[in-house]
Amino acid sequence: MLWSNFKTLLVKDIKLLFKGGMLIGYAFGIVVVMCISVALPMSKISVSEVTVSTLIWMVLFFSCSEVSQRIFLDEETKKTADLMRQLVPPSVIYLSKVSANSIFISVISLGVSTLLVFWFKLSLTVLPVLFLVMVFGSFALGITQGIISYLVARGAARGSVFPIVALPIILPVLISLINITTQVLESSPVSFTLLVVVLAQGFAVLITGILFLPYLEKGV
Amino acid sequence: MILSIMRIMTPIVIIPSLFYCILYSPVEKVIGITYRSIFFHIPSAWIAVVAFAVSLVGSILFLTKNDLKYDRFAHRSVEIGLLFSIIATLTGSVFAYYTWGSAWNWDPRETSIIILIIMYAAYLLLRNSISKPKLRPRIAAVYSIIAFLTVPFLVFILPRVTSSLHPESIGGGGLTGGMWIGLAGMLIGFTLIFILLLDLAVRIDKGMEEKL
Repeated sequence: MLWSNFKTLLVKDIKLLFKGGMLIGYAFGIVVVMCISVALPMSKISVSEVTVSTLIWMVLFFSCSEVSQRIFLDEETKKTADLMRQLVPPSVIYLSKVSANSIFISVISLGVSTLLVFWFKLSLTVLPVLFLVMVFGSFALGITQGIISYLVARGAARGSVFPIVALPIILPVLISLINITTQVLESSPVSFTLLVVVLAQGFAVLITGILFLPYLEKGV
Repeated sequence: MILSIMRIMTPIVIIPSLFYCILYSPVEKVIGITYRSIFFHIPSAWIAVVAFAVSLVGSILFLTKNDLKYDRFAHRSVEIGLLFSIIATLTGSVFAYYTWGSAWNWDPRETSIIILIIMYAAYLLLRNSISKPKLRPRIAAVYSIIAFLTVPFLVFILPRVTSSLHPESIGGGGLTGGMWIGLAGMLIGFTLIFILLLDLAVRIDKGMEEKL
């Protein structure tokens, strides 16, 4: 029963994200960042690997935050959220929505890593590592932003609060991801400790969400 | 009873410790008396982490037991933690200015404490922006739990996996016996102050709610 609810919600959210032209919008944003990072060296302004990694992850962060807000706040504004909460436990809603978000961001980031390899003329051998970093990073970003979106949407807080509330929680993950991506772009040895930290935080937030979100609905 | 003993103990511990740290603690061989700011810096940073941990425990207890008393502890503990984080940042900047030549160096620990300050300021912002009063403490509690998940990374992992100017990271930081006495006194004194401040803030909250 829970599994079928999860699947239904996941399919609904994935359809919403991939049909709404959002993918094209975010892909365009990332292409603009990549073009800037290629155009600046042409005009003899040197762009370091750190700058490129930072830009890429910031774009992914804001894409992810926009997606999270959209799939959570839409339910509240359409007044479908209350009905959904009556039918499905909050942890299942949270899990399906963060899965949809993580899949969406992973698709974007896989495209980004392929573009990075070609634009930076990286060896094809780094592609699997870059894919791994991008997918793990998207997973951690999706999960963390998902729980914050859930809280902001549930409390009917002002939407503008979202980036202010989400950014500090995400910063440790972002710092780690920027460091790892820089290492990959520089073709230097990758710190897998940082990758483990990113994954660990993702899992910790996921488990916290599953454990504590049901308490939000108790006695309300 | 325990709180009454603490009220008496606090000045007995903190006043002699202050005099000792400022006037009599040994002079460091390399940086002289400048190091004395650590007698305020380390206890403040310690209290900040303790306060955030208290907020975590208060939040979990509030969610599981559904008693507003724990929410008051969690909320006020974050405010006190923020105050001590700011004190730790300021005293650290004084130390950095005289020791490393600049008040701010983007050292991993400096970055960590700034992220902590922003994160818990965001907790207060989120709490005040929630328009549903019944949900306010619940949402704040879940946020506080998630916020604390990043504390081990910021306090313990980040400064160890990146290079830092802080003494323990570059193989220094050897405090001598006399310095440890002052530091221990200040740590105990600051902890007592934190407990008394938290108790006072929670009692004021309770009184205000009863009045309403």
